[in-house]
Amino acid sequence: MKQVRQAEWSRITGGPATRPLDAALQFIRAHAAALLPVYVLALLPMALAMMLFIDAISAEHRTGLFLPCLLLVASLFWRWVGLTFLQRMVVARIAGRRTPLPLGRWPAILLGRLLCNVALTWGSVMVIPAYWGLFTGSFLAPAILEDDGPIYHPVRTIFSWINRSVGRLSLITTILTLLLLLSMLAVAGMHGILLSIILPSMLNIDPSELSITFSSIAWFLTVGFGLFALFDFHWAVASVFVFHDLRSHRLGNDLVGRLAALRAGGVA
Amino acid sequence: MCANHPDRRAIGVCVETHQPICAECSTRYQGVNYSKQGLAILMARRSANRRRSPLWFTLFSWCAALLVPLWIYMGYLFFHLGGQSVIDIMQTMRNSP
Repeated sequence: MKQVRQAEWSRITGGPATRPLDAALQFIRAHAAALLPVYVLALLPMALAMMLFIDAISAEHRTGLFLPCLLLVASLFWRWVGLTFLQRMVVARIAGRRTPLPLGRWPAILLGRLLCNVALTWGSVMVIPAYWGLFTGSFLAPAILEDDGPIYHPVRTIFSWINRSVGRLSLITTILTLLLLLSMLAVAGMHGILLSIILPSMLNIDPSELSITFSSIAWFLTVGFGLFALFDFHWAVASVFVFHDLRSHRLGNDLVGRLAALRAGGVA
Repeated sequence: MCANHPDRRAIGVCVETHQPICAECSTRYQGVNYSKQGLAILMARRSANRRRSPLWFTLFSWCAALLVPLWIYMGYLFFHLGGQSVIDIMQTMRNSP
């Protein structure tokens, strides 16, 4: 059974660093109907808290930030629970069987996510803690699902794989950052085209009111959150693929898969 | 006589099971004799040790768990300071000539 699973993983992982990201996109396209509701449910409280947060910022109400910030922190925990369910679903759909996740494992996952979030936010000044925080937080659930022993072992495995795959993971981070920047540019470009060409010339609509909306901080933050949600959904799925890609590289399953393909007469 | 083969002469005693073993039953590992059962016991013990978390990790986990309110406060502070900064930027931009 384990060999079958490893062969399955090695089929979708290995090769260039972008392969797990592409595989995740294909997986999302194939299973969107099952994955999207879980993600929407996970992100819904955060989206509502973000609405209140943006509202307080737009109103320049400094004391009004207290409640939205508190709700945002609380919604983070809900989101992590949802993302863990989502990642478990991804693992189950690829492996063909549902791995049990006992209640006793949840505190470790949530504490790990919390620590990684602190590293990601406050450590972003020093880059390295953010890099560790991003990958450790994302790989925690898939690693714990794989290893039913003490939490130390999956955590040690994650750190070991992250440290030995700096080049591969840096490439993935760079690609995702560039894609995010390109998406922001694309949105800004679309706004420009809409305001300067489509509305005044093609539809004969005065774009001045829309221009005020588009230049407001509330709109900017809302679009930013929308892009975050898009990338977060992709990364929640892709992180499972990246995790198994690293695993496949470390354990040599990718080579086993290629050798098996060569023996079968296929193209490795 | 060997514990597994009563007709054979024992050449040593297993360090785990303390039973006499013949040349065929004996495996020399790290300078001492082990029987088949002894090796199984050794493997099981090493495996159990490997599966246990080290003390520093347990202590770190407990400290991290006790400091959860601090981590949550840091999360809150991140959003709060972020929001304040955006408001500051908005006001600076509006007040600039």
